Amino acid sequence: MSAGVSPEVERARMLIRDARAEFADDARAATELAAAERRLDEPLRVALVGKLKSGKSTLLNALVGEEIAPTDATECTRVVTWFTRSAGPRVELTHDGGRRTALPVHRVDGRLRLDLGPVPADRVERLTVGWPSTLLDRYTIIDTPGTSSNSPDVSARTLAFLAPEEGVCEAEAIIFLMRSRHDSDVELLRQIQREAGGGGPLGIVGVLSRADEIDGPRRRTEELRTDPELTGLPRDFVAVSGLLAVRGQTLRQREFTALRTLAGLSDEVLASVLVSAGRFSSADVPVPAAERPQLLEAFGLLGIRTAINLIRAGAHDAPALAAELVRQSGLDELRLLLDARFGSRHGQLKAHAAVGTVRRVLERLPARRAAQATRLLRAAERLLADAHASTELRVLAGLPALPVPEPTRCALERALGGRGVAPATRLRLPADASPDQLRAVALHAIGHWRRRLDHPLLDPPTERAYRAAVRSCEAVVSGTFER
Amino acid sequence: MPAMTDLGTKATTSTVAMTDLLDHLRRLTDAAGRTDLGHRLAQARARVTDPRLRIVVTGETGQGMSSLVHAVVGEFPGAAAVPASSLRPTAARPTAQPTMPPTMPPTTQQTAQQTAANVLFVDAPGVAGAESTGASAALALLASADAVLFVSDASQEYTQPELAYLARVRELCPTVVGVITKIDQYHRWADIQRADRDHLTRAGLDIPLLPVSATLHRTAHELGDGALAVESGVPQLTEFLADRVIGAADTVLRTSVVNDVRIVSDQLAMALNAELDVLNDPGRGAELVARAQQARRAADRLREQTANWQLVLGDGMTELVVDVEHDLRHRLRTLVREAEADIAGSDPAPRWERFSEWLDAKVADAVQSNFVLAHTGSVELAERVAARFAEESGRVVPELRLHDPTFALRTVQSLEELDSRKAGILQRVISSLRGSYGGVLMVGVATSVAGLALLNPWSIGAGVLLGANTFWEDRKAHIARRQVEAKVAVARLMDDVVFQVGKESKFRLREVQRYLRDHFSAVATELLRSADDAVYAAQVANQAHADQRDARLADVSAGLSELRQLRVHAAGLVRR
Repeated sequence: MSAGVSPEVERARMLIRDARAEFADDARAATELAAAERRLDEPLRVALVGKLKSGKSTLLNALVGEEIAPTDATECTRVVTWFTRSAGPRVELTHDGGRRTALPVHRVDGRLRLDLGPVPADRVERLTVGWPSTLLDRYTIIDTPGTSSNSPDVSARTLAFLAPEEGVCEAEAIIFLMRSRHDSDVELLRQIQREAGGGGPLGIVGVLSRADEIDGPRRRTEELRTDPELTGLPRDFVAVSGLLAVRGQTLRQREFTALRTLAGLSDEVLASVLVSAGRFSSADVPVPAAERPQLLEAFGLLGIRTAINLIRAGAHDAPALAAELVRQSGLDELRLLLDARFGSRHGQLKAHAAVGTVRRVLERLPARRAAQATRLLRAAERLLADAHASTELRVLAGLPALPVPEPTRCALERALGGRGVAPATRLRLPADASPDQLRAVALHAIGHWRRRLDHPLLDPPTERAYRAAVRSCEAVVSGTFER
Repeated sequence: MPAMTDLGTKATTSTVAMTDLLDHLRRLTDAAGRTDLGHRLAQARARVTDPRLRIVVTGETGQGMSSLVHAVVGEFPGAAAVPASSLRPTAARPTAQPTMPPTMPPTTQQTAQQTAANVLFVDAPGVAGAESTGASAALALLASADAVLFVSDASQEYTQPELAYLARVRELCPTVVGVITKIDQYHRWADIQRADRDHLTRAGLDIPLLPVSATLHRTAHELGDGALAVESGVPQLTEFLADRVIGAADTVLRTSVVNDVRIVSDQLAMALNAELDVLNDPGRGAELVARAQQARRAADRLREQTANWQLVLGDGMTELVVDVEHDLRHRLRTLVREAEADIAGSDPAPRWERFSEWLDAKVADAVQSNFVLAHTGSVELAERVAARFAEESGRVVPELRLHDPTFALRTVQSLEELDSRKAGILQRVISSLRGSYGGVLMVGVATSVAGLALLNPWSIGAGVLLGANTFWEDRKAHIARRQVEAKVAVARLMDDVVFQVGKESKFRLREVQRYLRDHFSAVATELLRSADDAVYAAQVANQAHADQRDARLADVSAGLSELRQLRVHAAGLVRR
């Protein structure tokens, strides 16, 4: 993704430099603009948002592959926590108006413990965890406290992060988690989408979380595609079980041995052992009693059952079981979607946020400098409005609800860059296709989508989708000219 | 389960004791020729033998409500499950049928099992937010519930919307039990229970929390494993319900039976006491007869239109009707203001469905709150009238039970479609064409004077300008028109609500008034009849010969002691 610097980022950088030159004498504006320029080269900031106990921290651990976000049965994440790339593990607390305090890195049994020390949660501005991880090299992940919490100040922190009173949301993309569609989820999604207009996060990926606990997660995601409550909101949700994914990536030989022993029991015995946590702890099975609470804590009864089924289905050693757990969790689908929606659009998302920041800085300038700012402000507005990227993302998010046949939907998804933004991917050509070939196919595609636009009974959402596809193919054609 | 059978038999023995007592007293009233008192006893007997309870099960969607109902019903003697759809009172709209008379729980299609059951578990529709349609449907069910089970699973602690809904539920029904389900799936359920308890304490809600697992319960039954059944928590829940909910209802029932027994025996004793007094002290016979006659006159006055209790009832009801109507109008006016502000904000057409749903939920909410007010007002009034009546008659008055009538928005139409919503782009194009045509003509005619053709660059330019202008003007006017239309539609809906609900609630309050009047008049008539009997008995005793006197004295004393024994028996029923 960082292969070439995208034109959007360059345009945003030019704008920022222009503004910095113009307002170098305004100390506050200068600092903010410098920060915005630095931010252009940082990894993409992805925030995990959802109601309390929707599995945000667990999903973060699953994505990173290590247990660095603390999780618990009851509400656990109480402050906004940033997970960033770093050469070695470090934990830092920003509090009381920008003061920074380094905290000890404290790991118990492979899990990172985050203890705020003497600073109460309401004085903390942000907790930063630096960790060496390939994922964090590409994304900075922000874990937010759950909304709909009964501790109003906890939810308030997330809302303040998403829609700050001053300025725009610091995330550039959002992973939205929910367990089932609730009024409060719809309301939160709406709010996030409102923020996107002013430079807030453009990209939203939906996750139907804790998927191992629900019956027929696939059916649920299908239902969400046509749910009338979600009209105009992102509605393609991926079912993911964070717990299974974490267990798969942190599986130990000891755990595997215990699980294999259980899998070797007869169905009857197993059923009676796994009927409840109490029975499991006290049952007469050849698993050491001391290991059972740990197994239960890590996997839960549902996870133990899943693992046993996988072992019985042929996962004969620990690596095989680990791979199967991850496969079953839906994490791979989520990763693919993240790369297609966020990774390959890195530049566009970054640029959108940066231009939003510039606009905010300009708007806040004193009235006597308004004349100076007008030109730059216009340029910023133009860049914000011009974002075909945002149109693509919005259409992609609403794609599942369009009344079109499945092949058309797939073709639209590709054309709009839903599986990757490379021209060849959009046009379903091999990666080494020649520029002439790309151009010819793109022109053909433009004609194809244009003809569909002529249909007299087209409904507005479908029309918008076709139009966006035409525009995307045109961009491919013009892009090939440049190369 | 052993505990349950125990409770079951206990319930039946106490029922038998009560019916025996009532039957005994009935024989005495029959012997005294008091059919009116006999009627009261028959009513009490019917209440004893048919104590129907409704327990509503509610919670957010997907918390395992149906399996819980299934498990609990299987465990409960004489219980049946009813889907809310078969008695959902707010099948809210839009049937334009005439108002139904107020009925008790509108149980339309019930199976034989449901009819025979004395505890009905109502599986209310799942709620997805306090203002969702599910919530208003469930809340409507709650007003007439004897108890509510609030279900939330052990996967997470209470959320803020859940707690808000719970507080609402508690307002409508004081007996609420929090049930934490799926404890077999989540081994940390005890932590969840603790967190929930903390949330409840902080919200000032005193609600018992019981953890259960329907799955464990089913497995326990399949395996015949008693210990596992206990682990499932279902027996504890049913025992709790039997004890607290059904037990509490039982206590209320016993108290009312005792009260009835006392009142009836009191009235029977009036004549016997008058006779006894005269027999014991024949010298003061005339004076005692005169005193009995005075008591009779006092009883007679109670029946008059101008009796004080009648005035309290009449005035109180007038005030209540005004209060309730004022409250409804006030709530709806606030709602209209809110809706108008919303409409004025943007073009209402694209989000009309959502808006309509939102408004429906709000209206249902307002009507429900108004209904709660009417109900509590009626109960208070009944208490006031009873107090005044007791003061005037100097006697204990049989207590009155007001049944919650389930209230419906049955006849209210839904929000109308916006007419101009259908007018699409075509109309706007036509009207802008009209504008551009005018432009072409105006400038074309003017420039033709200068020797140019009618269609020349100037006239075409003017046409385009005017056309575009008309197009945008039209668009603006269109939105404004929609906003006006939307406001009119809201106002019309509110008128409809005020009319229908106002009519319904007035009708209902009049019904309450009629019921109270009939009730107290009947009591007054009973009292008069007893006073009549007392006068007659005193007169007969006064004229009796000395040799008859001793035999009669023994009879009367025996009658009185029999009544006294009955009352002691009855009092024993409560103490147990």
